[in-house]
Amino acid sequence: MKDVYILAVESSCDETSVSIIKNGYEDIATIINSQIDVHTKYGGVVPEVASRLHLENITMVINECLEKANMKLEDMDAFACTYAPGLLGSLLVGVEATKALAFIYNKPFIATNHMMGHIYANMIGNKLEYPLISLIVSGGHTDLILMKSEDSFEYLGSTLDDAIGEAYDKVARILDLPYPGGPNVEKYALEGNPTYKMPQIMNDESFNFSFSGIKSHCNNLVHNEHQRGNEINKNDLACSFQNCVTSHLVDKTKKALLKYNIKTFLLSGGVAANSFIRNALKNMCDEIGVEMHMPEKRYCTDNAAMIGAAAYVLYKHKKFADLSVNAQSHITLND
Amino acid sequence: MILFIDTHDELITVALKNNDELFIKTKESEYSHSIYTMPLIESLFKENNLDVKDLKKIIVVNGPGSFTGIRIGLSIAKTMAYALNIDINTISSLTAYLISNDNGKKRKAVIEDNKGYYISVMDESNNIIVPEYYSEEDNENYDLVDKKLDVEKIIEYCKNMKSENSHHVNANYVKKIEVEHDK
Repeated sequence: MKDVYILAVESSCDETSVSIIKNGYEDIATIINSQIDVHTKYGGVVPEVASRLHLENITMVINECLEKANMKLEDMDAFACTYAPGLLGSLLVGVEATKALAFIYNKPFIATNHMMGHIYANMIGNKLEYPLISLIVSGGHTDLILMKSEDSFEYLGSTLDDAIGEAYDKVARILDLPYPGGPNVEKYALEGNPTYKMPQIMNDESFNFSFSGIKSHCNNLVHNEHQRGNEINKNDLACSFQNCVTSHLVDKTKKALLKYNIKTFLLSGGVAANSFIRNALKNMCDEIGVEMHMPEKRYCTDNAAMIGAAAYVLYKHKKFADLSVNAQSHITLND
Repeated sequence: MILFIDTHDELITVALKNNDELFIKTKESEYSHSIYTMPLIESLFKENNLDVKDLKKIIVVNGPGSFTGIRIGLSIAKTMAYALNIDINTISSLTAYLISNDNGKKRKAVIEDNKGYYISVMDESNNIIVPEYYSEEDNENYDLVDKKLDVEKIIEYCKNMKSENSHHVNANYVKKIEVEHDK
């Protein structure tokens, strides 16, 4: 079969990223223009600022990617972008730029779900066996998904309140750690011990998650200690929090793998870059004889390579989009 | 062949000028510019049997107006200009209205939003005498032009403009956003 090259664009949040992906698994070139320095000034992502920066950078990032790959737009077999979920103003820049390219070169336009991208980040340089269970952990999602084939998504459970990444960011704020909070909580936890007592999180038969209770617990704990005039040991609290939420993830995932008798497990999403969580899930999988896949860390956080990998699955199934596609802030994998 | 794109308000306008022929398409859209703009451009070429590869220049309205609206038009325009390696010019929405209504008098164009007015004034010979600004009140005492576009006149106005670098084409927001004020 002829090689398939897809140019993919990701602009759903605060990274403008463009990749060229060959046959869905080979990363020919990936450029990520991060706005993190700008948003750090504001203590978080400001949607209007993010949209403005995407517009300023979009063609330069496309150009840089083509130069790195030493390829031309004419060489592409399809043009793909993230169309949902994410920040609308940000998504629209990538969506419209990609439509323009598909129109000019008269090639398929592939509108890709960002969460599908996170899952297929596992396909880059890798082969997957189905059925499998996928755990997505990010700032907006905590989902356990059963995939019987490469294009079927059955939600087994999701977070009932905050996403895990959100909980990390909020705990970072409680501990007065700078933006981006999540990675800083991980860094602090590394230097601490789990000395603070944490609540047992939702130990039920469902595959759902909950992270708002533990966040409130941390908040109350810090508040009470302050009132008593005691210093909080940030390292120890970060460590206690991280241990607690990680065992919640591990318990639920293990239960799902055993119940459905699944032998392949995928971890994905921005929080999948967290080494402590990666290791804990890996140990559990080893213990029950499940093969675990996780993307390289650079493919965990937002990037266009994963969008190109997901777009290739859609390309194979001829799931092309129309130039009238609109960006959407909220969707599931089955919309 | 010249492509014109305006997405700064609820009336999307796209036009294609090929030799002496001018094809125009418009669409009323409140929050759906993404649904309509690119298909309108595509149909301009398809219905008139024209090839996008023959395009020589793009003129795009870059604001002021709806932030999201102008970004949609600009994302399309700068990507097309970059990919095709052709000229691109931006024009302010206020200048576009003023030049479209060149009645030989001093005149102002005003675009209102929920908190104030974007205003610009042009003289009898089409020189901008009050560059665009944003204000909570409109105190300019000149004739107010209609918010109607004359694409022929806009193309003529941009005729001798030097092309911009497509990578640097940006929106003309005029107004600052809240976080910038706080800084």
